[in-house]
Amino acid sequence: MFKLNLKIVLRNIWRHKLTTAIKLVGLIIGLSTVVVLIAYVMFELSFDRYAQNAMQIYRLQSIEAKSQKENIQLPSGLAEMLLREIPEIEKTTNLFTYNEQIKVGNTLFKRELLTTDPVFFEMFSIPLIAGDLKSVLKQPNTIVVSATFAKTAFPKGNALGQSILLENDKKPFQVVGIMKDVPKASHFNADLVIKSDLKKELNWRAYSSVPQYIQIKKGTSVEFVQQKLKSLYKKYQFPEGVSIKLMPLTKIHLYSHTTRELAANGDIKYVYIFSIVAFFILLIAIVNFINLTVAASLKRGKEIGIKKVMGASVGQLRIQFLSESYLYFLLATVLVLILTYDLIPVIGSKIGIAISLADMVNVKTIWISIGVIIISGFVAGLYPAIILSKLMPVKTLKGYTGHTSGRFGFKKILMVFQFSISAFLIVCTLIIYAQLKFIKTKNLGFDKNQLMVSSYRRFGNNFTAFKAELLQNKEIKSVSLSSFDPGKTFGGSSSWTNDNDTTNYTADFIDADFDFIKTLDIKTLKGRVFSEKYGSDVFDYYKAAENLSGEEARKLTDQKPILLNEAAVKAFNLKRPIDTILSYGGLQGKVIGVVSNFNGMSLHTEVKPVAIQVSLNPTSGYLYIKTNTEDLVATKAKIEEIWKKHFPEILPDLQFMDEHLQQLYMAELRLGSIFISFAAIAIFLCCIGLFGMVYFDLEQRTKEIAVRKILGASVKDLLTLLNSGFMKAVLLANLIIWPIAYYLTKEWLNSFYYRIEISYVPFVAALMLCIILTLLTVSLQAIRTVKKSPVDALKYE
Amino acid sequence: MIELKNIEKYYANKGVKSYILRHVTTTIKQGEFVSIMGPSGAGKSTLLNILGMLEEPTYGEYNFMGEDVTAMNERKRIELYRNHIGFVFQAYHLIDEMTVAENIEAPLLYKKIPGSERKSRIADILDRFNMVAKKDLFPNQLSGGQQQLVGIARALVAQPSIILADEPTGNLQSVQAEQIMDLFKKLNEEENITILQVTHSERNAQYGNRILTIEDGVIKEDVKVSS
Repeated sequence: MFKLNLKIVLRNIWRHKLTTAIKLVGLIIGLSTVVVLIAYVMFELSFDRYAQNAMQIYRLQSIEAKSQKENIQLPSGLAEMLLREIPEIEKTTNLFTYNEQIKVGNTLFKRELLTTDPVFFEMFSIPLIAGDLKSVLKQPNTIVVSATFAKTAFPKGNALGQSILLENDKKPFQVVGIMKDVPKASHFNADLVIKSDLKKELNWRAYSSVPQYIQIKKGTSVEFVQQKLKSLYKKYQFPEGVSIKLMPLTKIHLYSHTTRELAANGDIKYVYIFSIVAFFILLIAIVNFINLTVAASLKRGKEIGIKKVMGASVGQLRIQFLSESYLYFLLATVLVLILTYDLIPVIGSKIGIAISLADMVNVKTIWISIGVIIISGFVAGLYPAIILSKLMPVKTLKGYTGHTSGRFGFKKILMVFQFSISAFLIVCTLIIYAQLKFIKTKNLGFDKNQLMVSSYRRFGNNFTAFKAELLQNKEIKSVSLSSFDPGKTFGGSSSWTNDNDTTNYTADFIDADFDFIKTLDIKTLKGRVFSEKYGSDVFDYYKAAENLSGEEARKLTDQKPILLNEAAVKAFNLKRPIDTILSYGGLQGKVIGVVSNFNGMSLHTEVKPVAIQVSLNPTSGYLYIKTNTEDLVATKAKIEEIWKKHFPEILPDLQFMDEHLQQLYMAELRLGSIFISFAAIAIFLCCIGLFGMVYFDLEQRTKEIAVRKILGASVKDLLTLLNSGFMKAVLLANLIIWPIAYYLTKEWLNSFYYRIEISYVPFVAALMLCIILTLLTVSLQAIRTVKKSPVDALKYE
Repeated sequence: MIELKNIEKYYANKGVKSYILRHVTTTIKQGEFVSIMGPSGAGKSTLLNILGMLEEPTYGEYNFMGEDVTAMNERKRIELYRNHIGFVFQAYHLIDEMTVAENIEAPLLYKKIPGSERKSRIADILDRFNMVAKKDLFPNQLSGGQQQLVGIARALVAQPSIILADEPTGNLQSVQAEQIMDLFKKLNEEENITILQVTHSERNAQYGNRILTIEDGVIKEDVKVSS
């Protein structure tokens, strides 16, 4: 019997190629999207789990009682102290990474350098392919390289024992080990590893941004360790209001948002969003399948009736329809596997993660995907199986088509549901893109156009000559070196408490050369900017203060010129800022001018008080080059040539400022591109589902249409008739999601201090788009049926 | 074999009962060939559907081979279909996606008859109906008469004790209709299969040995046919 049923299904598939194709395409797209998303979500959830003892490893974080702000800046030696005091702690280490320029032979590279302890390899289960785990990194000036880097830098395969030069150290490092690459799903990246020089003694005066980690013994509860930790606060004179939190290693990637993470972290929020979206896409695909199966099977009422009369039980029929559904799912799955194999890297690059199939797909992901497919196959097959097996043979044999209001009502509900999801995704996409456009075009208070910026470089004394040669080119307007890295750091900061009213103040500082304001084109509102013409500007206050007593030195350095932004003027309540002398904590100097507010950090945050102070002849920092040419690429090449001439040992890494700023919004850009893809997939699935429904609707209503035509209905009348039901569903779907979409996008926009107002436009646009697509989907098909001669349709009776 | 006692069928619509069948009481014995006649809408098909257990009477008692059908559960009823009843329809109702042979095989599958026996039975019946050459064709490749032959073959292959036929020749031309009726007569006489047919045709009714005439849901006449 199974064989016969299988034959019937295959013959049906063959005979109804169009509807089969619609069903399969829907399933394939839906399931592929879901499988890719499962892979992505599983990837995000798998972070740092490669370490065998991942569950026992915690990162130390401090929490300030007042602001509840979490920080990974801790006094050095804290972990060591805990290791001594709490026997349940087994191991400690610290990890710090930075992008370092390295030299192998005559080749320059920029790679992630990790400073840590030798225990790291054991704690994080990173095996050494070559080298001795017991002695590795114990000697000074030794280095471990990753397998991939070893292959790139030493293609002959003789990495061990070779020497590598780091930008900061004059002495070469000797390769003593090759480690397996740190997995991609890790909260830090490392191509090279050297020994950390973090002090082992607890020192509350030496805060360090090097994260410290502890590993507790198996079987010990973290609460127990936490309690023990609390009892140590007094003994070791922890500052008032500071407590230590143990952040589980496996949660760092998704839950930690401190300002100094080792690598860009993910966000559990996005994991939830993507999971929900995946679930909805799957639902759309399942609904499509259900609707089309039921619609197609109503034509098979006769078959069901006959089989029943011949003695088929309801159970047998259910199994038949379920296995039919599974056959479709099986067919789709095969194609899905092929498709996702090619799709994952594409999507990976689209959402900004350099992940390949090998990184994402593991046994767990495959099992979950198969599980999801089996369950959805069951859900998709069950409803048609129940509905169809219930049909009474008396009715079906009389040509009953199931076109009753009840069942059609259910189909409508499913349709409204599908369109709701599509409309929701469209509205969200439009609002996300409006905000992304706002980010791109907002006046930041400085001119990001035709501006290039490098990473932090140590140019040394040759910089003056380099700058002079750059400025000889007419394409280059201005060059500046400063401590400001847009979106990341101004250079320094200071906070202090006002003695009178105990309010907390903070200010950020930028150390910059004379051309900074000009290069970034920041507007001066009051006073003047730094200039080499003024003796007070070129005077070296700190050098002069070297031989003075503390108080006198402070008095002298209070005289150094500074610029404030508007926010600072407002925060310190300066009525007449010019020539005011400020002397609060780290913020000191004589205000010579006020510049307009500029968004030095991302638009998520408000502009904060910033002071700019001049640094005489700086030799290191972030290089800014302002050009006045349209041909930026050629100019960049030219600059790099000059750069190489002056600094053959330093890898040029200029970036256009607008691209540099885009990186601040990686998560948002990723969200945008995912939403636009999903909105497109959802609306496409809806349309093919609709197409199929209309196809069957028309088939069932051929006679009705013919009769109406004979009664005098025009083509327009009939199209209106056929469209109106679907239009109502679309309208209803849109209305339902408007408040939800408004609320959720508003929540999302709230994460930006600078944001757009939500207007009615995205909502109306989504509605229009849905209406137009529905009209097209329905009418293009309907017009054929409607235009047919009614005689043909009625002949069948 | 079949005993109907006071069978009633009505639809209640807004408190008004519209009767399809009223006080139908009759007995049909094994080996009879009964024709049910009457004008359109008289309740012939409903009566046949009730006899075939496709519909349930609103009221009354129906005994099939000594068992009360109205008290039967779904499973028992399916058992009866499988083992005792063969249906023949006016519109043939062959499954379009199956070949002739597969259509005939279908009821045997539900009876869980082993493959070898299925094959021999199908071969046997195809042979009897002279349709061996057509066994791999699909219904839409056959003429109406041929399709109805397949329909009857399908009903017979499960070796039923009764065949219920709803206007079996209604869609056929007279020559083909005659062949079908001859076949029914032969089956009735030679294999002692009980046949119940609904028909409009006086001529077809003459093939049987008893005519029940229904008008407005009531049995008006019950006459023996003298052959």
